[in-house]
Amino acid sequence: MTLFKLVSFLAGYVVVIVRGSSPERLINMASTRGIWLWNIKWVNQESIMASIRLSGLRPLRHIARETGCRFSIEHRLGLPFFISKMRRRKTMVAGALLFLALLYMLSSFVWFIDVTGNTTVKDSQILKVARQAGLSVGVLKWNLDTAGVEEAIQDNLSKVSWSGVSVKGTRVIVEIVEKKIPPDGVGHNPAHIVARKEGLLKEILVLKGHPAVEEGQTVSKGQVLISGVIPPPEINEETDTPQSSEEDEKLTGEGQSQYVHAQGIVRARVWYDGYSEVPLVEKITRRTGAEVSRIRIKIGDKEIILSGPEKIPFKEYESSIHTKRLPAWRNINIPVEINTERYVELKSFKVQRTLTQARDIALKNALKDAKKRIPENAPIVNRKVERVEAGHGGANMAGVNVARVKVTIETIEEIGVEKAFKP
Amino acid sequence: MAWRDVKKKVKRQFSEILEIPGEVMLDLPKIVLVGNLQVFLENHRGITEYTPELVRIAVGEGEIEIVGEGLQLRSILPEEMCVEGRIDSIVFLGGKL
Repeated sequence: MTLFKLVSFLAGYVVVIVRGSSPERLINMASTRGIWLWNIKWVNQESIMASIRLSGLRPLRHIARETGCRFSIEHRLGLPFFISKMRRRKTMVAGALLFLALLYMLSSFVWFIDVTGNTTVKDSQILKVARQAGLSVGVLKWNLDTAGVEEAIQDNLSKVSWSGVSVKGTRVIVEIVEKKIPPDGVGHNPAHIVARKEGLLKEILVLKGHPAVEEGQTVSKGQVLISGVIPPPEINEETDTPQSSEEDEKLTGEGQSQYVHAQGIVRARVWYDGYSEVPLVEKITRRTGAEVSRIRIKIGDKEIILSGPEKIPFKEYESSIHTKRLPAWRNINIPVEINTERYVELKSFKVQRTLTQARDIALKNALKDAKKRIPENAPIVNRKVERVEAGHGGANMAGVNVARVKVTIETIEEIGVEKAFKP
Repeated sequence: MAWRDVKKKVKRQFSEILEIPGEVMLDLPKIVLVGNLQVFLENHRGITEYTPELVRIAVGEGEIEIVGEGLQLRSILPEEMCVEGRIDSIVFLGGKL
């Protein structure tokens, strides 16, 4: 029916008023000849109103003549009439077209420029460079060479490592990623090399600075390993030539000690402990794999389950709930939300282990525990496993219900770390 | 029994056996009522009378009379029509359907 009406609108239709002794005959003849009439009704005692398509109007004239009825056109509707009406109102059509053209034209300019991502480089600086590359408020969108602007920003601003220019409607978004420049004067400021963690020094190689510790010494965390303070060299007048002694005097005359940025490699043996205990009988809950999801819509205080069961069919389960809400606008808060809930079935059971099994697991866990703290590239030199049987005699295995394992891992790693100081 | 009646009877039995709908085989009107607001009628032979209170529609053999108030003919096609308004009753007149 809707399709019929749409076609009628496109093809054009008229509302006619039929007067005559027997309009039924006219309706019958029209319908048998395939003229579609609709919305037929009496308007008063002697006339009938009906709608008819434009194409049926000429045949209807014949039928009316045959049946002795007269009809007049009341309304003209549909696209053809609308077009002819618009022809008479040229100014309005021109105005509508002008509106569309203006809308299109104004939307093809760049009206806003947003600069994001910059912290140290100023917006004005970026915009200045962008203007030189052809991006400023008021330029035509299709004249904008985004790749060129990106390149110009990257080339002209040394602090920018990447830039992205994207057009979104009448808004241009300039994204900036700044270079991370290390703090000024690295390598010149006086600094010590201190221990990052405690350990037994294995080797120490001083590139710059004054060694403060010796190999084989145990150091604690934060201890100075290579000092940035170089004490004045001892003057040995017996061996030195007069020239060099002069130099030495000059040095000592300048200051008692020199301050440098210490450099060097310090390796040490470092130990890591890992401990784990595993009971022989343990209660474990585990997911069975069965799950149920449920979608509920909440309107005010009422909740309606859209899909999923009313009651969760699991005895033990864990649930996760996702809530979607309409965004609040001003003070209007629409109290409708959709909850998507997921229930995962859990099952708990007891695990029985033999002592060896439990020890294996405990060892694995203890190693994992220790390795968490070991840096990735540190070589492992030694590993010591220790079984701890707390509270029970080692011989009486029947009484042991917990396997405890302690591991010690020995590594060799670089423990030196720079630390600036003020002389 | 007239020859015509025999033919009709055979036709009806035939359609009953093959379960062909009556409106196809026997040329019967198919009427669909939507509450008391609308009547859809298929297989009509044109209207014989139309006033806002009464619509009489010719069907295969006989007529159907729709009595109501403010009746309108929503649409008329050669095979199908729709009457709208407040419908009070539908009566089968004359003929043997």
